[in-house]
Amino acid sequence: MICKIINYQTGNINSVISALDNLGLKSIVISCANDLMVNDIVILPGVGSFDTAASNLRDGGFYEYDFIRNRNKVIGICLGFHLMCLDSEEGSLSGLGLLPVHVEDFKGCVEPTLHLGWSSVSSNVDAFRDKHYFCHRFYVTENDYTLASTNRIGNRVSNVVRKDNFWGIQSHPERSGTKGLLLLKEILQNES
Amino acid sequence: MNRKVVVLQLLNRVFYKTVGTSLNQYLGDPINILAHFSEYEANEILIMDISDHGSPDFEFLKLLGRHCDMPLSYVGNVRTLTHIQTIINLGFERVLIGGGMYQDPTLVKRAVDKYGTSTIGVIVNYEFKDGKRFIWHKKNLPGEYQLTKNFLSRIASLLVGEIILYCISFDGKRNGFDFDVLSIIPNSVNVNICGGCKSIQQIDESLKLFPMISFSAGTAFSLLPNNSVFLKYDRDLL
Repeated sequence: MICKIINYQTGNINSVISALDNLGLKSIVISCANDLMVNDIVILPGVGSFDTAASNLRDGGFYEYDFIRNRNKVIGICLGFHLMCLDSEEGSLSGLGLLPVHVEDFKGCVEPTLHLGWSSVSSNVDAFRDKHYFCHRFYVTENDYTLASTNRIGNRVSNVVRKDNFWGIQSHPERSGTKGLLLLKEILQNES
Repeated sequence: MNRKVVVLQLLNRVFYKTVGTSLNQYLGDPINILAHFSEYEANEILIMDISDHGSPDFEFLKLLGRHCDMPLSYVGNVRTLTHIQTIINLGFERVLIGGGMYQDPTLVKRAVDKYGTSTIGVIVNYEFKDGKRFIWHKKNLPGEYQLTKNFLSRIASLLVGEIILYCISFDGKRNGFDFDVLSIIPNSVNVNICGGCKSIQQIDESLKLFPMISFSAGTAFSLLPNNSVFLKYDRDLL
């Protein structure tokens, strides 16, 4: 299995490569949608701000690429997850729309606005539970596509969201030690 | 949402522990030490580069990024947006701006705009003089600036994700954290207190006492009272 990691300039690519290495998986970094093929597994890493990343994805031709027709499994981590959604309160550009949910802002709900640190995650899937590392100000509230979630001062925050072949992860599995690797492995091995 | 953060000071590709502005103890090979704290599942590791290179040592940071699977942050010699982008690409989730914000007052805002609240933090080094807190910078600032609530509120208004308050006067002395500084912190931003930690037990007690504050330490996680190197970490509390 080879994963293609999209380089949209601001992602923490190196740590995602390390995590995949630890799972015994090879990876290739790509910047252009022309480098994608049918059935490819695609990873959108986290870290950065929405509009900067969305703009770079657009420049790489990823907004025109048909992930559904090409039967790609797409896994978004943190910001990468937000980019797969319809839109985000963080920016004015639209997302890829692979997950039919909106990304909201903690601002006005809780202080401090940044959810930073380790939080317990609840889920019916064993591999999605336990404590994971979070670092985000924007979030997707629990919805019909949520498979795992955490609580942040009264707000139910989706940690794993799935629609068909498209997966979003709010925490950073690549930085959550063995539990994070377990989560990533479960998603990578899941047959749709 | 508090964390206990391991601070590792990097000087010319070696980890040291400092006392204030002086080197105290050689800790050892960074890759080996990072692997240990990764194995201990440290909440977060902050690489504090105290080298005087003018820019981060990207080649070495790439190596560090690959040998750690726990949350990793970096501070030191960050002067430009290109520095920040490269550090993120090398595998660091968060980049903290220190002296760079005094040299270029627009840097923090530009960094937050481009890389987001979750990626960008600020570290404020300070020292005590005549019982008052003053901002400290190794290149010396033009004039003396007191650490005030107004100053910290201005930083928070730039929407940084975290402010680390690092007390240079207390660093490595094991006399305890400067808890009084908490009276001048804004509520809107995550705050991390660093410098002076007595012991891991003090961190654990502090985390219970101040559930919204994070605490960082170097000595407590790496040295025994007799100054010999002994890496330790217990993440069970959180």
